[in-house]
Amino acid sequence: MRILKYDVVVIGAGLAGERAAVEAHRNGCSVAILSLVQPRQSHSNAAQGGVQCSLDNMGEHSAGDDWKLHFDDTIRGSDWGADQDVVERVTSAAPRLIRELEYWGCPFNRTEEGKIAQRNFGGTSVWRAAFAADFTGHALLYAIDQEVMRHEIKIFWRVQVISLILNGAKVIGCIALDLRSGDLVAFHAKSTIIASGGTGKLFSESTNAINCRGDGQSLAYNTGRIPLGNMEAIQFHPTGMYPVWILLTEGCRGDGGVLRNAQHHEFMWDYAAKMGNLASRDVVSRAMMSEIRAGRGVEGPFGPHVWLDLTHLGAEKIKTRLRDVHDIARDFAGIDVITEMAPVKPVQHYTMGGIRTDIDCRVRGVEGLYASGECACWDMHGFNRLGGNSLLETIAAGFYSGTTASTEAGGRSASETDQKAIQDEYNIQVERIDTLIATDPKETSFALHDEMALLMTEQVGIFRTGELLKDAVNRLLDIRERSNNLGLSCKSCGRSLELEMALRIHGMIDLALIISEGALARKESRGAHYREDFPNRDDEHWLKRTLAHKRNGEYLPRLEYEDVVITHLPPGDRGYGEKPPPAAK
Amino acid sequence: MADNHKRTLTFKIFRHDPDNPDSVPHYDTFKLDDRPFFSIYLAMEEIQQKHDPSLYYDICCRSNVCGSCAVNVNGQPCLACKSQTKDLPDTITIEPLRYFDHIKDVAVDKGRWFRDMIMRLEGWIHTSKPFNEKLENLQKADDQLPVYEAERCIECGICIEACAIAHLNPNYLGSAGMNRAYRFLIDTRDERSLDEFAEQLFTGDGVFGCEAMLGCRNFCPKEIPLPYHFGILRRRILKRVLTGK
Ligand SMILES: Cc1cc2nc3c(=O)[nH]c(=O)nc-3n(C[C@H](O)[C@H](O)[C@H](O)COP(=O)(O)OP(=O)(O)OC[C@H]3O[C@@H](n4cnc5c(N)ncnc54)[C@H](O)[C@@H]3O)c2cc1C
Ligand code: SF4
Ligand code: FES
Repeated sequence: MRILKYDVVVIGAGLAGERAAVEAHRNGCSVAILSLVQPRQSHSNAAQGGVQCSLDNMGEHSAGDDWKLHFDDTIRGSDWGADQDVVERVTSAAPRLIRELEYWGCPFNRTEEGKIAQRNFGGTSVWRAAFAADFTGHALLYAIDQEVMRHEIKIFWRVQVISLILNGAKVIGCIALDLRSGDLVAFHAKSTIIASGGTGKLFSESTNAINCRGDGQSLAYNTGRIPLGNMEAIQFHPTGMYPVWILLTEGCRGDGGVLRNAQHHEFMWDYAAKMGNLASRDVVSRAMMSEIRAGRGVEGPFGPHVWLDLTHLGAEKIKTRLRDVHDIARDFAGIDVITEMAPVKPVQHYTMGGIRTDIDCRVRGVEGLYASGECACWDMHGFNRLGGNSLLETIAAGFYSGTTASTEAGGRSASETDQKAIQDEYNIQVERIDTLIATDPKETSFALHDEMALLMTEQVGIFRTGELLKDAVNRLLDIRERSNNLGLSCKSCGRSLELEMALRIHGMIDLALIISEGALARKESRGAHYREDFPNRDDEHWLKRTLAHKRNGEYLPRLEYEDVVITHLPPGDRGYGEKPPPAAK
Repeated sequence: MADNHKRTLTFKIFRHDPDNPDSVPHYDTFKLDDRPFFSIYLAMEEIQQKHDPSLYYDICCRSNVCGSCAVNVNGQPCLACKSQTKDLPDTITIEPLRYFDHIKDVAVDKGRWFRDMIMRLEGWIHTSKPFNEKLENLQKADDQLPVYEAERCIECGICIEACAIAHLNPNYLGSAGMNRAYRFLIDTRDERSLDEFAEQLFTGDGVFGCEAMLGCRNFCPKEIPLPYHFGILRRRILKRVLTGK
């Protein structure tokens, strides 16, 4: 058994993971980062539009902006689901954290005076999103990765973490599969940080990368001690490009683009009288689906869609500020957005819920474990994340989790019983893989995945009902049961996509069940969680966060609820002028 | 919009496991129906998931932003996610990039090469200014734009694969390396002088290695004007070497 020892082990090399690693290194810890892919390929690089921070660099367009206004926008966006102490901390630290990225070299667009430029985004009261054209995530990730390289922080890629090692209630590292050699490696750590990203691939239609499969959430849930928060809060982005589901950034509408139906009518003003095309994502996605349901969508070979119209923006603006949007539409759908409208439909985009942490990013229920970024439920987004707030969260949570994990690592020393705990977990994982390899497949993980992901899109999507959710839960239980018949036709451990998937499919189905069960239980509509049978927000009963715990020997989680932290802004109207969507026929 | 080809495509895929002494390099053939929006990535996914689970390939963002999926298609380097079958003939051969460390079948490891290159160039901002949390560095929009243009490189490795010199000289920094050096050299926030890049750039492994065969320009999926960046770098270096200025 190969054991590698570090003060801090970070699972994930996206923005959250790398930012955490830099901070832990800065505090004098030995650090290792583990990632499925080369760090610069992590999905953070796909973020397009921008990152929110109240720099107030845009004259009249950002006049009066400060952390408080950013705070208010975030809470309204979250539909009061976010913890206000966390949001206050993040929005007040944002200008410093983003300027630090600029200092590290991120090539942000500039104003006339040479300051960081900001653009308009959905659900915000002023122009606040700092951006590097429409490749902001790439620019940020490269800037942080440059710091990782400058400090020569150790990084392992092509490894898949498959379990956490516990000694009692203390997490002391993880077991990883070296995807190249097929060997298992144990990482022994004083502090472990999970920063493994979102769960988009639970849905068949998603803007997310192939490896957004919720590995980190499953690792935590599987310990049986750690609750997952608000997993039913799933964001659907209005402008996934039909039918390949690649994102066209919200910056398109921030920069003046509009949505149109089959009759070319700019329908958003009928649904959100005050904010129109720039209402929050949940509101816009529901409006688009309502248009489609009312028969005003555009019929196409892959189902109906609506249009995103940028044709009035002009070639100059599109080719500079929306250049990748231009190229994506051209290369993947054969559309020239300078002269033609692009077909779009809302698709899964972001996982608001995740591994529940406290305000310092400590994971609840265990010691020695931290979580940050999209995999965590910190909880700064509640039931709807504002565009540009996720990149901010990754950087802020990276900073705070790195700080807490490294400070607390100093006070921990390896215990004599650690060795046995590592060996035991290692043996369990060896046996798990050996069993998979020894079994011939009656089911394949890819077929089970496709069945689950289609079900999630069709029944646990934008419009939810008790009936559809109940049925989804039952069918997922069946899929979960069948996942026990998994085996492998490819008998080697290294470089086997089949084994990689087989090791995570159970976890993915568990997460799908948690989402569906949580959505079924939540008898109200809040943010992105919309129940047609309970169309109103119900603060009296549901101003609460869902916590899903694993139950021994059962597929369905135990659901618990906790109060949301409210410090400054009591629940009220979101201010978008939203009219409820018409009921389904 | 839908480009409905009613044809059967024949995929010939390179297969080899370099870590297995019994594995012999060969091609496997798969036949799939063409369809609208079909790509090399989607074809490999279908083959791996439905026909041969042992096929190994790299994929991540599926949208031309991460650079992980580069392969050779009919002898030309390209991104598997971006290459649509509608632009290709009925028979399609998929092979790994030859330049990089072969992992299995059509997957290679490019990370080692790119990280070595960045370490050689110290590819990060060098500045003596302390961080000021109240005000960012001021930079003119005209100075930011060319930095961003070069920063768009997604490290797919295609320009290196397409370069004959790189295949002959393993130390050659290639277009991706030169583009990265240029990115820091022109960044007003980086205080390094041209001379500080001398050891890496003023040699046959740097700007004097290029013989202007332009393979890099033709294939870069981000359409970065590599020869132009290269030209600026080369002119500045020649001027420095010849005139001392
Ligand atoms: C197309 C798109 C556009 C977006 N645009 C914006 C935007 O404009 N503004 C904004 O604020 N947000 C945006 N977002 C959201 C934002 O980009 C993400 O939420 C954020 O980047 C997630 O970062 P992360 O560090 O948490 O995870 P990721 O960047 O996804 O990184 C996850 C890391 O974990 C690793 N990992 C996963 N599982 C394992 C495992 N089992 N073992 C080892 N390693 C593992 C991966 O290799 C990877 O390195 C966008 C998202 C998408 C999909
Ligand atoms: S310069 Fe272009 S071809 Fe070369 S690695 Fe970068 S993106 Fe790829
Ligand atoms: S998968 Fe990211 S560029 Fe092709």
